[in-house]
Amino acid sequence: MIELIDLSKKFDEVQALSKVSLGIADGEVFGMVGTNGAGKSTILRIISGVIRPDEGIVCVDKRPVYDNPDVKRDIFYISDEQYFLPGSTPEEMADYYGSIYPSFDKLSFHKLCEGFGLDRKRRINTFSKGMKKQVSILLGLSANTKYLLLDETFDGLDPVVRQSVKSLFAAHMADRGLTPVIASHNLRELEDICDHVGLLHKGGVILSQDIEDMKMGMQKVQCVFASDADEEKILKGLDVLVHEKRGRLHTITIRGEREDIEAAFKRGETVFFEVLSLSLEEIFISETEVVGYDIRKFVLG
Amino acid sequence: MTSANLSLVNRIKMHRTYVGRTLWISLVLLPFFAVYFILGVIMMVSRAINYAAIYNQSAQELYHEKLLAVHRIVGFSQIGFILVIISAILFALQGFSYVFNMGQMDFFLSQPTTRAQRIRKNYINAFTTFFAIYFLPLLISLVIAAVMGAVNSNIIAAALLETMRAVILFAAIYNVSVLSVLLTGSLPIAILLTATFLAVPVVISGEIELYKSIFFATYSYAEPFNVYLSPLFDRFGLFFKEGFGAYSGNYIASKSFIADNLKLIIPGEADTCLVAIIAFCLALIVSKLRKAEWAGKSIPLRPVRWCIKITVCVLSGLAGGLVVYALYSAVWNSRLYFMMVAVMVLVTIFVGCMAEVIFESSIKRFFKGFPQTVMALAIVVLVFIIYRGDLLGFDSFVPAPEKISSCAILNSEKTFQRYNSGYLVNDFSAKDYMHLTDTQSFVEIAKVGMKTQKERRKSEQMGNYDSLGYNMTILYRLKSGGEMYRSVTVPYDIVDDRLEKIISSDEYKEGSFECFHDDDMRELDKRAQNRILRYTTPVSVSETRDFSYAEFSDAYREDIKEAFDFSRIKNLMPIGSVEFEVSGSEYAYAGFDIYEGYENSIALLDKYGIYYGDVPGPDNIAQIRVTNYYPGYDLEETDQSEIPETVDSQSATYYDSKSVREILDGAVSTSFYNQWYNYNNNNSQYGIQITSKNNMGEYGGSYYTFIKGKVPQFVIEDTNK
Repeated sequence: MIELIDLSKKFDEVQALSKVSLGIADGEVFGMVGTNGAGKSTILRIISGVIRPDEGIVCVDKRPVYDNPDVKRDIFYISDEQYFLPGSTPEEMADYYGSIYPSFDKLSFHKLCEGFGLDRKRRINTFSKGMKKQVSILLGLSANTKYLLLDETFDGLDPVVRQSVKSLFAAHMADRGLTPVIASHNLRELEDICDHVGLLHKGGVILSQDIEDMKMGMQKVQCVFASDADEEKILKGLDVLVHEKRGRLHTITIRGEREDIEAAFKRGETVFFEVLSLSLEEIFISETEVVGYDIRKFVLG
Repeated sequence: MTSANLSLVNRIKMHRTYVGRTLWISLVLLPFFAVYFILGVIMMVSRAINYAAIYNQSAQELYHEKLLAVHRIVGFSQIGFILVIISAILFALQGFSYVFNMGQMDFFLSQPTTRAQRIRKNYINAFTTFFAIYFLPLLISLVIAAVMGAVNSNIIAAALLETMRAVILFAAIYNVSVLSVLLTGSLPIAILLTATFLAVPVVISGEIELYKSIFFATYSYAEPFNVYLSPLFDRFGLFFKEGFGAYSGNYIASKSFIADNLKLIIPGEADTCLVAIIAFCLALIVSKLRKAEWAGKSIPLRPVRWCIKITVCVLSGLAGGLVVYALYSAVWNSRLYFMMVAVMVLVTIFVGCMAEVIFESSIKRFFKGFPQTVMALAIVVLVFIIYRGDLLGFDSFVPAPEKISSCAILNSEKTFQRYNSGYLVNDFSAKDYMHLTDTQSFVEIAKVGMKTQKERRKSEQMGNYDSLGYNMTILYRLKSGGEMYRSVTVPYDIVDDRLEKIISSDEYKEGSFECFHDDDMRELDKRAQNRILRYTTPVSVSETRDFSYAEFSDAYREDIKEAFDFSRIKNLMPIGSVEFEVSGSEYAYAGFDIYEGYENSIALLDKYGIYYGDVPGPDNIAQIRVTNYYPGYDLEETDQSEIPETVDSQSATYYDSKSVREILDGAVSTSFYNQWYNYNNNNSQYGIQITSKNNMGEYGGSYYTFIKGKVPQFVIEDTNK
């Protein structure tokens, strides 16, 4: 488990992180969403021991990470600006990481490269941007570390590769309990991958929740009430987050379990009633609007 | 298969891959070292062999030349250290450049190592790689040299010592460069800072010396130019200053060669070592302070940034003052000091502004950071005031006699010039041999001399270059171990009694005259093939090859001891000069002034058949032509500055023995130089050209002038018509 407690970090006059507290449980895909400058990379760098926080504590499995090789052996960090040794090939990078991470599995790396159609003998600097990201991810997975931190690594990957990587993550999570932590500035990039999402804005955490919990605890209803009295009767006592009306058609986002909401709608008469599935985006919009943010402006592109 | 199962061989292979990928610069440098050492030795030795074949050198001479050739490449006088300096800077920049790029920082610092391990790894990689690319070509070159018969134990010892020096130099430059990298956030600034760190000690010392020479009348250029904490000066300074004695005779094969040269190099190496240690300690401290987020910034540590800015501003401001002096030195006067200080202030401000622009890479910063600029300005102005007002008493301080262990009068003129392979190899200096212990008399002379020297400086700035006395550089050796050099002008006649004590002492004579330390020349004379002893007077020259230099030197030594007295010499000019010349594998030249009263030398010259009297007599003079450069004026009465420059000279020629005799009675030769002669006694208004009846006439005669008050009346009349 990765625990961030009251992390603060300042770069000259810029407050990059302010009292950030997060918990990343083992075995889940943690997504970190936020605009550029929200503090995602800073958090990942702190977790991977690249930079030291000014205040606060970061513990990986209850151990401090900064300048601690034992802990760092459990973490593989893929930076937004991927770096490879000058003129190296994937094979050489695998050799290099093999000398650093004791659990690096070169055989697995070879297989993965074949699977992704990457030439192990070709110089990485001749690869496309997406291919370089693939190499980084495959190296990271082959390192067999418990935690894999990816900074904007998924952005720009084509859907086929994304799906493959997603499958690989699932396999590694199932086989050895991998915990990927993925940062992105775009919520849509993470929607289909993450189990848990932390939303960052201006160095602070707006919310951090399990996606399933969020989905379970929030419903979108489309309905046509028989009368205004029915509307009042049904909605009374419900935690309505968003309520839109077009003609007589109401679209209402309500916090609560599906069964409870369906039961509430039985209190009055409706001409039409349907519970729709909420996208992650809609959940975020609803949740953040409640706390006074309009995330459409900064994470939905 | 995980890497936990990797064999040692595979791990080494991976390490090699890492070094190859991260220190690829070694692959670039290796060919340079290989070319320098291997090709250098082959070419130099084969050149020596060809030279020997063309000029029929003996086997012994060829062996000596081959040793010299190899020594130039691998020994003390090598220039391979330039490659070492370049390597150190490149290795440091290459090894630590990851700190400039956040992507690389992420890559390296997220790996399961500590910062200390990473730095240690970089150091080990750099040093081992450097040693390999330096030592392997060196080793191969020595093997080749051995095969070519160009190695002796001294060469091998010198090569090994040079390897040690190379490692020390590499360590110093590498640590300075690493410190610069760790203090900065971008490559260009790191390079600039490395250059600054390496140059600052030399610039500081240079500016101090130049300011002393500008502001202090008694400053002497004989004062050694010492630079501390500068690996570059330690190497380049010694390289240009010392020939390491390798060219002197068969010295390179002698037992003392290594020991003697060790004495020369140890002070510089100690200084370089000190730089390496200081820079290493600072680099360690900064590495702990350094934050990953410094990547991309210029010099993030503010105190360091301020110090660097202030230092650069101060040095630039002072340099601005030097430029003003250099431009106006020919027409310098007191008012120009205002211009000097104004330029210093302007340059300091400008550099302060530019430093901010460079640090922030933004022209908008031009007018920022004034507090540091103001501090720099204060220092610059303070330095100017200290020098201008001589607040440290440079021009007035004379040590107490009881605090002086001995003194010396330094004369830049050398008796011997000895060359080997085109290099001047003798380095006689009175500093090494003269130990005057009459410190009381010396200090009294010095006090008067310093006062007159200041007057002379003022007088020269007014455009008056009249000789005010004997110009000399004096040296105090203090009991505390320090040395003080001063340039003084000892006024004529005022302290003659003290000068008599000093100049007529054996301590002065044995320390000043090289003939007392000419064992090498005596040895050279014994084995030389072509040797000449020539006696030259103003009107004649004669030479012999049948002589013994040692015999002449003994006679000359006796004359110095017996007949060289200040009170006598100060009124005389040499009557002739003896030149001793040797040529062949080595070339040497020596000149000895002969004064009236040098009986032993004269007798010996007479014995060799080359002495034809001292002063030309009327009988052997064909004609005398006297030229008055300022007809219508009398320089004994009128100041030269009052005479128009357009005056045409007027000449008269005399043939009759009566006129010739009268002229000779009042004439003094200007063909020779006597340090202790009062040239103010001469009347420079007249030039006398004597043409003798012998073959000297072919060359235009010899030159004399009149002593003041002894210009014959008929000459005055004839040349003022």
